[in-house]
Amino acid sequence: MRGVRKDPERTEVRVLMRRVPLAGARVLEIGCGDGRLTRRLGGVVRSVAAIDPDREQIARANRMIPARLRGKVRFEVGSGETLRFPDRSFPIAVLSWSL
Amino acid sequence: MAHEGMVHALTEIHRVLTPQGWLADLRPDRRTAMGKRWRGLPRVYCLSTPGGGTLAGFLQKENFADHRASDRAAREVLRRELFTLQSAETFPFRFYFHTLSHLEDHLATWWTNTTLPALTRRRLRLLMGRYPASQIVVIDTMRLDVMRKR
Repeated sequence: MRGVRKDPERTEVRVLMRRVPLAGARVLEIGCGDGRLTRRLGGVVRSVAAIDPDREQIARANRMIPARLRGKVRFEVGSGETLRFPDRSFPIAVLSWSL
Repeated sequence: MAHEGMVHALTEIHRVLTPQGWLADLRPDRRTAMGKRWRGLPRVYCLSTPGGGTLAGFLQKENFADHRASDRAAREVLRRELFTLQSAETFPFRFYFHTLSHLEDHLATWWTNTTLPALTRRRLRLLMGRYPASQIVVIDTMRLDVMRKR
């Protein structure tokens, strides 16, 4: 949304990195919205599968992926209640303002 | 999401995590706001110079039902021993708005459970009139609970 900047200090991702071994990991993000946190995680982790039930937000997230993160970040429409991933497939899951 | 849905989602996450996998639960912290009038609510500042902000007031939340349900769901999966709590902390999360209209648009679109009290709006108008190059900063308190799959 225009006229708004969220967490330009990157406090959120810095706190996350201090507590969770994100570097080089495969991460599942639930409730990614327009991918604000996903893009920041994408610079640190091996890959991110990011889901959100809002189709418009996922379309927006896909439009905003920088070229350097293509192939590393994947956005999908989906809900935390029915995860379409196999058992034991991620070492890290992030609930992004979604519980 | 209702309480049962939240517990189900946490159970699904448990399923897709590898053994000893990590779950990071990031969300606004409303524990101190529940039942207390202002504490724990997002603070609204007029930022006239870098680092120089004046408190204009608070945003008001309409209810905390979702937050209570989230807390209950997290407690339930800990009680069921699906996860163990590794750490819990809070930190400030800042939203910067160029103008009062941008804040009001954001409230109408995204923060529909939140209102800007008339007193806070009046103070913001006054401060932004006094400092035309200023911007609005909303500081919310976030929490990060880190759990590990058992």
